[in-house]
Amino acid sequence: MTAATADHLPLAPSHDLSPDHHADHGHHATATGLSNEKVAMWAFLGSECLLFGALIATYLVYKGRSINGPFPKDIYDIPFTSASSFILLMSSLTMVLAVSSIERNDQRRLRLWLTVTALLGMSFIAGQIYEFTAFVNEGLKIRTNLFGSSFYVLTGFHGVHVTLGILMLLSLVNLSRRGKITQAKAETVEIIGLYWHFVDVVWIVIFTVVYLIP
Amino acid sequence: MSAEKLPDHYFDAAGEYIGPAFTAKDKQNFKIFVILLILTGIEVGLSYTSLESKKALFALPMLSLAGIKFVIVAGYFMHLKFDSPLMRRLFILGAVLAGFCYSAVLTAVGQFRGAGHWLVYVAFALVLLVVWVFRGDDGVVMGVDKGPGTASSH
Amino acid sequence: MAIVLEPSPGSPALPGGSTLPALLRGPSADPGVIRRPVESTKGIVSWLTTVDHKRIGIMYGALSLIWFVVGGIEALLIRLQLAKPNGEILSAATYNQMFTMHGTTMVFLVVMPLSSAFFNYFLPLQIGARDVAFPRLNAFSWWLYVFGGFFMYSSFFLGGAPNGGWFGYAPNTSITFSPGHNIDFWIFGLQILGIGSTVSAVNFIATIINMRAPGMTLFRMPVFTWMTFVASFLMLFAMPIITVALFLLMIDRTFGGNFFNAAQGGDPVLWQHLFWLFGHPEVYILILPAMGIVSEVLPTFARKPLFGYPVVVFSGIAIGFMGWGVWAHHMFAVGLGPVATAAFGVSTMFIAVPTGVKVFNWTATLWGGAIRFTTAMYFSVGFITTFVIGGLSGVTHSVVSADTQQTDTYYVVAHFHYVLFGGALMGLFSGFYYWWPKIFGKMLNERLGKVHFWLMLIGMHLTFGPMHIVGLQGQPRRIYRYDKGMGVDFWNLVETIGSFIIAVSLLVFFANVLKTARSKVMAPADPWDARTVEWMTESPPKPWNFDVVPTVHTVDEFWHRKYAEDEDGTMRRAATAEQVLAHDPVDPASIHMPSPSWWPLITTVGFPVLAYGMLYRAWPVAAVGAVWILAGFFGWSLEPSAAPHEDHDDAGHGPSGDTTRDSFGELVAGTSH
Repeated sequence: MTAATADHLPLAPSHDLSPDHHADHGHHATATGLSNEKVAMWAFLGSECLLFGALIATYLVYKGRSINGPFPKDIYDIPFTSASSFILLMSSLTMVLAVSSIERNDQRRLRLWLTVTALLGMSFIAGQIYEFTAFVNEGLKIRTNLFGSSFYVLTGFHGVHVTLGILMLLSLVNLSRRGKITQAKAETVEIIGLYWHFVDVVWIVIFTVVYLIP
Repeated sequence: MSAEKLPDHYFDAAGEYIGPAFTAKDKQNFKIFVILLILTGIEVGLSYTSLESKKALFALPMLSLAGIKFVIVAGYFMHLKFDSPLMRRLFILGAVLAGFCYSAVLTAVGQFRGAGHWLVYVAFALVLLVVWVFRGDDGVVMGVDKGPGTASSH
Repeated sequence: MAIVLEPSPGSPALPGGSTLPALLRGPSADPGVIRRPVESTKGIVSWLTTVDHKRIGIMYGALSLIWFVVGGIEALLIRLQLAKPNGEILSAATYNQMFTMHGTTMVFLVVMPLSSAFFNYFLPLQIGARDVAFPRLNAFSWWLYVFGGFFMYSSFFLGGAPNGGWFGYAPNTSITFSPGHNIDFWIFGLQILGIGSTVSAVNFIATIINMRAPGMTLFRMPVFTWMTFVASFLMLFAMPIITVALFLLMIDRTFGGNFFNAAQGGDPVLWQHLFWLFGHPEVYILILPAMGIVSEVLPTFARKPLFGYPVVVFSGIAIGFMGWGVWAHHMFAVGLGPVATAAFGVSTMFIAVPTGVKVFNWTATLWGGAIRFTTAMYFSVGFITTFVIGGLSGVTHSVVSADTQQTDTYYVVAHFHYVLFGGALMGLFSGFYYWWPKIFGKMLNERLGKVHFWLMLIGMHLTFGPMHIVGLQGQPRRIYRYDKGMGVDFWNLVETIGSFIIAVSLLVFFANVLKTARSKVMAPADPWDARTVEWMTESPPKPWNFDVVPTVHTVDEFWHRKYAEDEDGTMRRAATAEQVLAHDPVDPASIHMPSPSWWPLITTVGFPVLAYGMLYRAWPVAAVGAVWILAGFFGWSLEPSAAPHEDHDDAGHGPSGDTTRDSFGELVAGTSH
């Protein structure tokens, strides 16, 4: 698998560190044939598991321990959040389409799908802002009770991750417009896609554990 | 993950792609998406049934469904299933470590009290089972490093 | 994220880029937004923009030694206060700041970065690489360390240093009990340092996985590299936990959250769980690199291969895994309930097994060896003996009933100083004496080194040995005074005397460094008859490390190129080091190294700005910091990691213009010639 993959991957930065790289063009210079960036992204995502795990665990530790309301059951709007979750899930699909577009050097569709992904992400964030505003109006603030503290911190942390992802997607659209995302660099799109899917995966857990299980 | 081989007539003389909007792989991903939607629908639907009031009995299918969705997105959309085993190792290490450590914390602070709390561990085991089912095409979940290029290559 | 936005080298030139003003362009008008330094850049700018892992390693080492002195002075003040009953030197408030900053400094600003100095310098050399996988991210980690440390210490001038202990137990650190900014400095300082450590961990993991020389399989890697690998994984997975814990505490203090507010049902024990879930892997992050160094030094000076190399590696990995299942032994006094207490007691006893295996292997390495007692060897043997004592007192903590008696007494202080001072630091000093000729091309003086060793060993045992006694007699930690006639007066005086002996031993070390810097005698290429790949190039190495990247066939590659079996099956010298190192001349212009960059430094400046803004609730300042960081990453992502070909200049790019030696290098290292 690894050997077959190597030819399709773009050059890693380490490539230029190779003494005989002039004779070596088109071949991956790393020890495993995998690019440094991708290994780093997966390591980073492994680290993020512990980060979100700690936040989710904190939410679970305090589940049902709030002394005064509002309690989750009073304010959750499951149909609304289900729609948000659908939007984020959908954005994972469009991200996959963006990666598949650049793999066949289809720059126009790459920009299309990246933009759609970013827009879906923005809709999700807009939904979150609406949700937070509604909750605050119903009397749930970060200082109100344990539920308020742990809910806002967990979902807020996730929201910040989505926002950073949107910024990266828009940067990609911009780079593609300037002709800087060649087919050889499909992997850059793929790696940002990994981050995006990870944020989606975290939401899958949050949606079930925080919203659906009382 | 390797790009699929596309026929030459999908490209014009300048190498620009002029083929169909979606490839066979895209179509497979549509199917994956539909499966994810169905699983989400089941989850939301379950939360409106009377099962919802039966704590552990409700948590088991819900956590399992979330875990299965997690593994499907990681396996197909993040193409962990088709990628080098090394990627799987890095990610599974983090995910399993998080699962282990935080379950232990939750147990230690007494959040898993009451009858049927062990069902949570069953869900955890179920997810591990799914990880196994969705193991890479090469059949390796956690392989052993063969090492970089052999000495003879230089 | 900056990782993935980095364009690969050799990317096509940006069309129309030349419209930018000259200062904002790279020399060839290519994508860099800021004029990029070239290889011939010298002086302070070359150090501010360097991405060379060796220079970053040297800077890590130098700065962490400075913090070592600062943390040491704090320790001496603590000991002066406790020298006599009812000491008058420090007030209770100052004493709290001293022990907090002593602990925080020694863990986060001394031992971790000192290990990082060795990772940086030797990891690429030991695997036969020219640099780390992400040289600019490496510089980024380094600047985060610089800014994080100075940020935290700026508290001394801004209302008082952190005073909640290095563990910062909530709710003592909550706004109710610590209304000043002291704890805020601790929170934000550790957040900055934590980001740096996570980035380093990702970088080292990618480096070890991907940058190995041909033939360097995982099980041909030197043990130090292996221990770096394990420690990097521990950092990768432990840092996010402390990040979350600190974040929750920050929410409580800054935004009125309830996480550790018992009045609202918050659970202070959650802080302890999160802190120690990070904290216990952290102690293995501190000790594993030192174990790696010792595993390099012992075989070299016993002139034998490391006994049971794979077993040593696997015990390191086992420690890495088991380190995640023992954290609650820091919390036995909390009352976790019989099941949790028993489980963590047993797992703590178990983790002594892989550690014991290592000690056995080290001892067996010495057995029957042709031992040369150099200073590095003294420190390594000193490491083993003191570490065994500290390890045994550690096992006594796993006996829950005994631990309940020992909790919060000086017995615990004795234990962790035996493993961290007598263990980690002895190992790191062993590394200094062993690798100094590699880094600076000159040998540290052996006679002064042995004086340093004996003073340090004696001072160490005098300081921390009696703490076992007074601890079991019940002297509590973190209490700034004790009354006369409690039976601890004598031993406390002895401890203070011991601490000053340690201080003298460090003066000897610094004198040795100065003496070596002034000396004109250069070290031979292979002063110790060493075994591993980092010695297969000149000392100090050129910026690109190896003219010819070695192809590796075995563990101890260098040794096996020097020695061969004769007909009787005994190993005999077949070649000198010079013969092994000889190779056809290589045109340095054919080797492209990553180019220096301003971006790591520029981006990092935003972090203290953000932190000060958050700390003083000056939201516009915080926003400026955040936008600055994002803009920094964006500018960074537009700059290729290696400058285009025409931006390289030949002046500093060959043996004639060796850039490893210039003013700052002379200052720190005495490489004047």
